[in-house]
Amino acid sequence: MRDMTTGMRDLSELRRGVLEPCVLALLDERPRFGLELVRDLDQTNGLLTSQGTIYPLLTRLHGNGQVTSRWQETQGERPRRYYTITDAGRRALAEFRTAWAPFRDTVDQILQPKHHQRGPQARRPQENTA
Amino acid sequence: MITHTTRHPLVTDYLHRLDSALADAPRPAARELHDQIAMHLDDAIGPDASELEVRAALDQFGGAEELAAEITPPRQPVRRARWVDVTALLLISLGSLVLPVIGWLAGAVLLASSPRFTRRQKTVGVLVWPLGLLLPAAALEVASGFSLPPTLGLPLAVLAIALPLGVIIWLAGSLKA
Repeated sequence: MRDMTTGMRDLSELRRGVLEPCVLALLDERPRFGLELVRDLDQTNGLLTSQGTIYPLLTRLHGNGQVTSRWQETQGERPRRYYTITDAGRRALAEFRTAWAPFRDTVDQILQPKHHQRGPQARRPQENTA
Repeated sequence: MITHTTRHPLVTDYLHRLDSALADAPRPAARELHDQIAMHLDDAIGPDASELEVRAALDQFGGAEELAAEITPPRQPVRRARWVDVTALLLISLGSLVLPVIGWLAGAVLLASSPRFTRRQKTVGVLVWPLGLLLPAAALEVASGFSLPPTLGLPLAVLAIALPLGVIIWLAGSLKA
């Protein structure tokens, strides 16, 4: 049980780390409001550790100048605060995209269970029969 | 901030806890976060939702304190000597007995510049002691045998003594930090 808890915690930290570029990527497609982002990210295999996580992140991105926001009213609905990616946000996203592919490949390579592929015999040192 | 008249009491309570936890966050960011979260919860939780449903939705949403911590700068270790803040509390409470208004003013300046107290504590500390004259005035009212009718003077005097003392005890709790 202890290992599982540690694993879940690691996954939670990992999610936190990649959430920001994922939000920027979604905003790069089109402006979105907070609840819309929550719905989009919730559908992608539980990328959100909790639904509320998205709001402090948007506030921080707004403060950093990576997104801007404006209130917009769509027909029949209440006004929403729509977030739009800025040039600074696009630059940060491009940097992450460049770094992510080699990073992901390296982690994949390390995590691959090599000894299972080659079988337990492959790991034993050769016995001297002389 | 956005207000909502038909909000579930548990959501109202959650938003109050969020506001308390945001006491040290930058104002515009705190306001934005409050409004966005309030709007999300109003959309997700109807006023007629059962208590179980609301609790489940709030659990899924995440803790108010955790979310607030995401935009709150970490508190710096307090470097000011404790006796300076003790002096601040003494001056805002009793300073006007020694030097009317000026004694309180010195205490208010020390309180406002202290890294030990939150913005809310500073505001309450300064507002509850209007010019530091509340306690002396109440004491004078009691000592003079009530210039106001006793039915009005006594409750007012009790309130005027209990309220500031309560605030000072509350503020003194932060001196341990």
